[in-house]
Amino acid sequence: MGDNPVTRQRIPNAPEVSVIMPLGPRHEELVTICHALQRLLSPLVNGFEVILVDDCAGALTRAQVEAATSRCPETRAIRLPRRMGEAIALALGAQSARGEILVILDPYLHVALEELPKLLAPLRNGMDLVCAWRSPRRETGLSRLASNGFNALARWLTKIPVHDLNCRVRAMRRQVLDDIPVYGDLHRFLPIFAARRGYRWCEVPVPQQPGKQEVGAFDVRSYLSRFSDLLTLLFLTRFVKRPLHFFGLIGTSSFLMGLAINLSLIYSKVVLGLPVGHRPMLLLGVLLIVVGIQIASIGLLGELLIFTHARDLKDYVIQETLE
Amino acid sequence: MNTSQSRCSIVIPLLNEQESVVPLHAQLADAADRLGMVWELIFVDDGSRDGTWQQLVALRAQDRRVRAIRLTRNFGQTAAMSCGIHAASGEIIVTMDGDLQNDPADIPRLLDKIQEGYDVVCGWRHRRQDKLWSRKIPSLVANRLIAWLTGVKLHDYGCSLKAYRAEAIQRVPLYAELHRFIPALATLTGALIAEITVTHHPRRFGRTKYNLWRTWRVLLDMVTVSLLVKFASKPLRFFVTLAVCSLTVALVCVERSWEWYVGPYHRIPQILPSIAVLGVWLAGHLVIVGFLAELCLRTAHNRSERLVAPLTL
Repeated sequence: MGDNPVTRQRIPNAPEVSVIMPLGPRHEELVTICHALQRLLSPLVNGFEVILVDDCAGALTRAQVEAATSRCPETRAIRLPRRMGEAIALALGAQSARGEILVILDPYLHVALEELPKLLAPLRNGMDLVCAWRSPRRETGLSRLASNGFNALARWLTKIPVHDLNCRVRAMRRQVLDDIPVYGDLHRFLPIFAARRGYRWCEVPVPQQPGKQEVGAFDVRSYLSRFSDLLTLLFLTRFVKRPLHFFGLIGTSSFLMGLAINLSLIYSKVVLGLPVGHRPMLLLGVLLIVVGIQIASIGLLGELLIFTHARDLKDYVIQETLE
Repeated sequence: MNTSQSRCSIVIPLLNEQESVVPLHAQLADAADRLGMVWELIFVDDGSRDGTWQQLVALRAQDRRVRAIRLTRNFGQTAAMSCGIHAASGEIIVTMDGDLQNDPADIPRLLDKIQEGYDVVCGWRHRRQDKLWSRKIPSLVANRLIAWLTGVKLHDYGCSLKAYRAEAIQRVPLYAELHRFIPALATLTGALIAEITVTHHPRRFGRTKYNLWRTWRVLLDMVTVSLLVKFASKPLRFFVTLAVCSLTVALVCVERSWEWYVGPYHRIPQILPSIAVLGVWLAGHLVIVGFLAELCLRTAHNRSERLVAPLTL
């Protein structure tokens, strides 16, 4: 999972903070944002850069990105060849970032830029990851309920006290993003993965901007994908290291149940002389045996996969070394 | 053999052992100085919540041969050991527990065995100083089971005091809680294994980190490792054997059905087709899984050095 953070070389003359903004179709005026960042960050940190990742967001965005890069010297831009999604945009932005501290901003400004210093302060006190927690929320009705439910479910599944997984405004040491692979929609769960890898993290409550509501994240169609995200999360956090422990247990119990059913049928046929062919129990027994063996063998396959790649997967994170 | 050029790394995972650090270092330095080798001591602090790390920092200030690594949280003994093993610079790596129950005075004897040409030398806590019912009996059963399942005949898999040739141990995949099975996994890479008896002291400080609940997890690990050891080099053969068995059962059932059909009653007992369906289904499934397993190993082999290959010495 990434190269060993300890061996990573510091880039000379690098800015301290890299601000990464993945640009989707919805965002505020970029030049204004970049100027505001300049005003905010220059007195606060030892050099910064802004990286705009244009995820094929359209002609208007393109014009704004060009204006921003020409007018603000700290701003750079990456353009993706086609729409690749926020996680990829984020990963590419992080790859080209040079700072030791990465700040992910949401260009729609759910959270006012003026709250940024609040996120940076805990990093100076030894935190590795600081997440914004929009409180109070401005959404209403179903959307708010769904968002809260999602967070509560994630909390319950992982036992990690997260409150706002849907807010992408986060500040972190770059080691965190180097170490944790984000793909698909998994960047949402960054605090959970970080906590499980032993990084120190916290949430900072910040007010949500009035009139800025989350759209689309929780319409009814996306419920299914959020639900499958949670399943992925459960799987990646709980069972990924020992697939055979998980699948083996389910498979073996299914197999044993099927075996017990069929043995009892054989007993009644052979010893008691009763006809059993018409009984649905026979079909159930056969089904359970097949399913049991299938699940267990898939678990074995997963175990083999982990086993052969185990030398590449680092099971641990080094905090500091005395050499 | 000329030992003056070779380097020895001693790797010790620590979890809440603040009282043990200083006496352990004293004993180890004493034993290691008599080796006649250049040595280093690697302490891996596996997320201790007491003053272990502060003790290590102080120790490091006194003795430059001590290296210390601190993990971000408690990742478990296998991860800590793996971390230390991969950080080690010596050609010979010795691992041991940080609870003073192993005796550093045994290290020279382990190294003698390594010089004889073995790749992995395991300690056997011959007169073990632990509670009988909660530790010794489960351990005895577990050891017999592991020896039987993996085919590697050792008396004491749980003893952390071991010596390795670095090239042998660094290619063993170590993850989850597999440190108990290092000898079995090492045989996969063609390592030669020896066992010698070592001294075992009763615990002086701190608390034991084992409990009976672990036995269940160890049992599951045992099955996993024995399967891996048995079929990691030839998965397709393993699965095809199972598939052929299941297909045979299916064919027998089909044949019996035919006999019933041409017989005087002209009807087939329902159980025969059911078993035939089960058998064919399973055979197909098993062959596919075998292919996937083979594919998975093949890509791993192409990617890096072969996993299952004799060591080049």
